[in-house]
Amino acid sequence: MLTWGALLFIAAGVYGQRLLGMTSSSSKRLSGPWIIVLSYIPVAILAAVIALQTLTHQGELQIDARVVGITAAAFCCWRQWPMAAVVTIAALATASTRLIL
Amino acid sequence: MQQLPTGTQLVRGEAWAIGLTYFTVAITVSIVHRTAGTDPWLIVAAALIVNSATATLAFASATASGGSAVTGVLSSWIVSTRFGLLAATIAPRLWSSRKKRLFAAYSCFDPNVALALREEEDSNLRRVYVSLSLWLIIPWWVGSVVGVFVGNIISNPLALGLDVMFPALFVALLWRQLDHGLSKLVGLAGAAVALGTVEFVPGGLPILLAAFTALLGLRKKNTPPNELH
Repeated sequence: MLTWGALLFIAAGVYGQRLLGMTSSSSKRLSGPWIIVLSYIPVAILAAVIALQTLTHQGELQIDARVVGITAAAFCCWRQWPMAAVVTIAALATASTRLIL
Repeated sequence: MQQLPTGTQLVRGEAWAIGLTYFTVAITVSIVHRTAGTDPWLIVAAALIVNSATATLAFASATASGGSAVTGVLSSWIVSTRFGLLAATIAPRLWSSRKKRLFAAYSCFDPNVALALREEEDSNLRRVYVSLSLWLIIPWWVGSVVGVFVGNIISNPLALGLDVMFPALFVALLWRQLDHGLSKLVGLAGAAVALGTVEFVPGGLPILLAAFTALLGLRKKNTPPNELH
């Protein structure tokens, strides 16, 4: 259960890391190859978050209805459907699968 | 909420999708905290001050499984390391003013960074970043408040598949960046590293380790991912 004290510590840590990243890098200090490496970081992070939120539960690998939802999302992306349709259909597919299972 | 920056690649559907997702995720997060017995005002304050779903959920998860408050706080910090990396990624193209970066840091999330980085011109990148930050944060705050009040009505957000909206949004964001082999390689490697380490290292670290796969970008120095510069 969250407390006010914990909340303040969490906020300080989260904002501190964002601020550190925001103030520690500048285009003047970075050379070409490192700018390209930085540009790939969102790709790596997005892929990691998708994998973890789809295939793990409380730190352990687990396959369940979420896989169906994310597969549906990928199908919608492949068909180039709007982003709102992607997330809505993914939720509906997951909910339907849970209902069936 | 009606304004989108003109002359950029950002389209209305993307902004709405992000707003919808963060509104829904905020409701879900509020329900999780309400179920854990957290004071409603504290839930709303967490949304405003921490501005991160994963951080407060990591705390709730760690303490619910028997961990101390210190463990919970450390867990929340670890899962937030990606925000620092994302901030470092976009910072070179944002304002040089430190004061403006103080504000920009507050709203550093995955979607606004990913979509802003598509812009070729730095001025457009800044406009998209600011606009999407509003499209993301306002639904997030409103959803948190709504979640506090409807928590008793929607007792099981999992039954509605709400937990999948967040990764589904990320799939949509990632999809348009996987346009060439190296992007796909980095994405696959990032996912593999995260899944391969999740059972052996504390929560949050798998994402940090996955970020190192961006070093594969050094293999082809002239091919940044599509729409990322």
